[in-house]
Amino acid sequence: MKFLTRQEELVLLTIHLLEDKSSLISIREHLIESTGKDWSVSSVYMPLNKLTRHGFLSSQLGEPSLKRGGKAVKFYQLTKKAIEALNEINSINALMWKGFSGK
Amino acid sequence: MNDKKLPLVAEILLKLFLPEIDYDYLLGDYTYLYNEKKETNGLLFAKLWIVVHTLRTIPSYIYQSLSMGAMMLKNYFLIAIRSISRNRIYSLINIGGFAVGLAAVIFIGLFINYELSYDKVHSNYDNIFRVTSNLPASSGISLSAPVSTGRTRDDLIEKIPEITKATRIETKTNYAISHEDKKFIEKKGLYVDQDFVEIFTTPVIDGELKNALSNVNTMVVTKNMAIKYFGRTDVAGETLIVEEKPFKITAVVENSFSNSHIKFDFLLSIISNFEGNKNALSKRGISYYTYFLVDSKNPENVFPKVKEVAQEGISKLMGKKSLKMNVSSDVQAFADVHLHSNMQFELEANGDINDVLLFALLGAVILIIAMINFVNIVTAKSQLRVTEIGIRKTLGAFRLNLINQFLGESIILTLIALIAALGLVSLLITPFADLMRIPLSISAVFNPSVFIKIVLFTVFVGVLAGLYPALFLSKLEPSRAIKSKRSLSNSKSFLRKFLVISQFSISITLIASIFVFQDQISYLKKAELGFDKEQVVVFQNLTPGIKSKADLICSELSRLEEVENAAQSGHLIGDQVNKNPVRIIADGEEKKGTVNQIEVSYNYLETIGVKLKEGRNFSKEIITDLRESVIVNEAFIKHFNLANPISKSVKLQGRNRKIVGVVKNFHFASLKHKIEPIIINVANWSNFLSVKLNSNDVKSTLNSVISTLNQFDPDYKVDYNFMNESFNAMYKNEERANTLFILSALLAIIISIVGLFALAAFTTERRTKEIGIRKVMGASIKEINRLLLKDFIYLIIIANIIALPIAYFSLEGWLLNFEYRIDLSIWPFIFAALISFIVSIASVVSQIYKAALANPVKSLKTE
Repeated sequence: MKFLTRQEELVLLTIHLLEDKSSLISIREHLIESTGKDWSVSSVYMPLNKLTRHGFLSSQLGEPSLKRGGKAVKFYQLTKKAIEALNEINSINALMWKGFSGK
Repeated sequence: MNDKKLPLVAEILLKLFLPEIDYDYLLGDYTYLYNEKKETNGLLFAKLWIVVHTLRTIPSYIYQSLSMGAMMLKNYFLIAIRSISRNRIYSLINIGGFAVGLAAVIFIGLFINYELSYDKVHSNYDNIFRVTSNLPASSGISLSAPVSTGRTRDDLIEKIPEITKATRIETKTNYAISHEDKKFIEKKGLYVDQDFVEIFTTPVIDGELKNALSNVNTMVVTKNMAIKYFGRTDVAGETLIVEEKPFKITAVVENSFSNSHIKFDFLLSIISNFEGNKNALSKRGISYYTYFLVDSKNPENVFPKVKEVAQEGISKLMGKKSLKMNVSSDVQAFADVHLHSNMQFELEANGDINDVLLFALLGAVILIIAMINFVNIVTAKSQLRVTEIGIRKTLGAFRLNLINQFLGESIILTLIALIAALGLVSLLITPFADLMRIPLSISAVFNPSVFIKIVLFTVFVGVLAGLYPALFLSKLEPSRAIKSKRSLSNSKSFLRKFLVISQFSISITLIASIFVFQDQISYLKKAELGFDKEQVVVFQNLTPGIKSKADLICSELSRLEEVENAAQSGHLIGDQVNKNPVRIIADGEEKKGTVNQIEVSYNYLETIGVKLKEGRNFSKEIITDLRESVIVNEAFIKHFNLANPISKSVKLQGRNRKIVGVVKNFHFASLKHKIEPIIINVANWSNFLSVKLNSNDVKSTLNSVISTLNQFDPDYKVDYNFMNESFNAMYKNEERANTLFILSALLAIIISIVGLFALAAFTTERRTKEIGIRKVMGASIKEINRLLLKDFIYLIIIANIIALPIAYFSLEGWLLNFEYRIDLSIWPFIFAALISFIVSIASVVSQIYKAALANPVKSLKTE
């Protein structure tokens, strides 16, 4: 049985939310805000790498900037496979979270 | 100023820990964040932040390396498996040969381990020592025995404080033991002091070891003994009748260790022998094994005192005689006994350190051959993969990766071979244990500590053997590799030739040795002993009932039709011979010495067919023969330089006797030794009955003899040996070594053939194109054969040139160990050479034929 980890799921959802603006920095910022946890750069990068390797994400390069010390930016997008996976998670959640009221 | 960059330290560290793929972008991300922090919170904060976050990359780095590593391993593993199955035949041959070699090494390791562990099972083993006595005499006849006087033990405890415990051990051949209706004659019993169970490790099952043997008529039995007589083990408190005296069992202990020379089924308190018998201690002279425990960091310091004390005891016992006889005492370490002690009257037949060394050498040789094979086959096989390597390198594989890959393959091959080897070992472990006469079972191999060592050893060997191919292969230039296969074959084939030559040299030496061993051993067995050992049955362990009527029994037996003669003796030639000092008064001179002695009945010498040279044999008619006559052998005369031996006077065992006869030299001991002087006198007591048969149906005659014996004493449990068997048994060690040599030679040959076979296969396969062209050009199969065979024959010739002289000189050296030996003839060496040629030609030719018969069109098409 292979499930996406929670981190991977959150990263995918973040990218879905941020649409065009999904660079590692922005993804990380959003995650820190939403989850309240202090994500290190690596802890965001690892899921991004794995998801890319498994075909859930594709990437594009952006313009290098001075602030980045002359390095380019990588932007991530969801692939069809990612959308399908998220749909699956969603439907499972609908079933599993049914009637959950926190008691 | 480019102050948007990260501090140098941070950049360096990040470079270390960040993955290579997205390194640039990640560095960009970190720089961005750093600069942001710098803007919002200042430089110091930014620096702190980057430090913290650099450190936080470490966990993921570790995690990733591990998972990448695991993936790499899996990758290498798959590649290795794939490459092995692609060249299935050769891999199989390689694994097979290696498995055989490994199995042999494991067996040898088990043997060596057992022998080296001997006696170390006792927890105090390195503080235990024993007293020995030496009786040197003129011209080198000396006797060493690990015994001392009966009082030595007490004296040691009393006079040397560092010696905390000491025990005597007294042995008897037979003990008649009974309990209710169970009556048996036991042999493995020892009379010991209480300290025995405290010096030697004796795990107790029932009862208590404390004072177990401090009292008279007490005994300790082993588990087996308890079950034998009582059917259970909780028998402390019970009584057994030992030689008609009741002994109380004070403790039941585990069966004695098989890997210790201290073996027993039961222990009797030695003081039971002294009760009411004031002179018991001195009566038995110097015949007490004396072991003692030293409580000190430097036990050697007490040795001089021990020797002194023992000497004192001896002089007190023997009075002035001891000085004349030059008896000296010595100390021997317990741990040295099994492999390094070569004395008379050992408690148990010892092993030999030379055996262990021989085995170790054999093991090393076999391992070397197996490894040579392995390297050979892997390197040869690698020629086929030259293209693969070239492509890999072009695609970016680093040399290190390739090395790892090939090493990995080697290790996997060796591990598979190990599995096969373990299978072989489990199959053959029982016959091997029987052959070596050591107890071994498969659990010895799967014992965790042993097993781990075996696995590690295999991996080590795999790495060693795989190192050369790995290093060699990874060095290949991609362009050269892909273009031409041939150019590489010649450059390194020198090494391969060297390896084949070494393998065959070793095999040839072993084969020649086998032939020589066989010859020497059959020579020893068939040698002219100077008496007739054929059809002589010797009965031993006689009951008092038989012993008292020995004379009568012998005459009865002689009356049987197919019994030629029957005689008794106190000693047994080939087995136990006494040694005694003699004093001869001849030609006005007095000569002294210590010689071998046997005491026999009147007709003993006739019975065993010893030939008389001068004078006469003993005769019942001559009354004085019993106490006053002795017969000596030629060696005796020579040793004491007696011109006219007959009627010369000899003082033996306190009495003056006259020499009445001289017999021709006969071998009363192993043919390894020169014939020593021996003196023979008549005595009334017997330990052995020797019956000479003259029968076509030995079995039925033997039965009649046995029934006669049983008529005289129904209690006698018949115990006999055929004299020729016991004499042959003297060469047990040589025979065992020979069997081993044969086994290892077979192994070496198998492995060498495997190696040569695979080599031939590769070479011919590589030259298929050449063969195809030659065929097209009109060469006959014979010519092709000869052409390709030439290369291999050269190798075998060289191997012979190297091996034969080495074999010759080594074997000559070995034969010098034997006083009586064969002359080294040339035939063993010719045979060895012949076999090497036949075998190698057969292996190579089969391959060449296969290639030569192939359709030239097909062979030219491939490439």
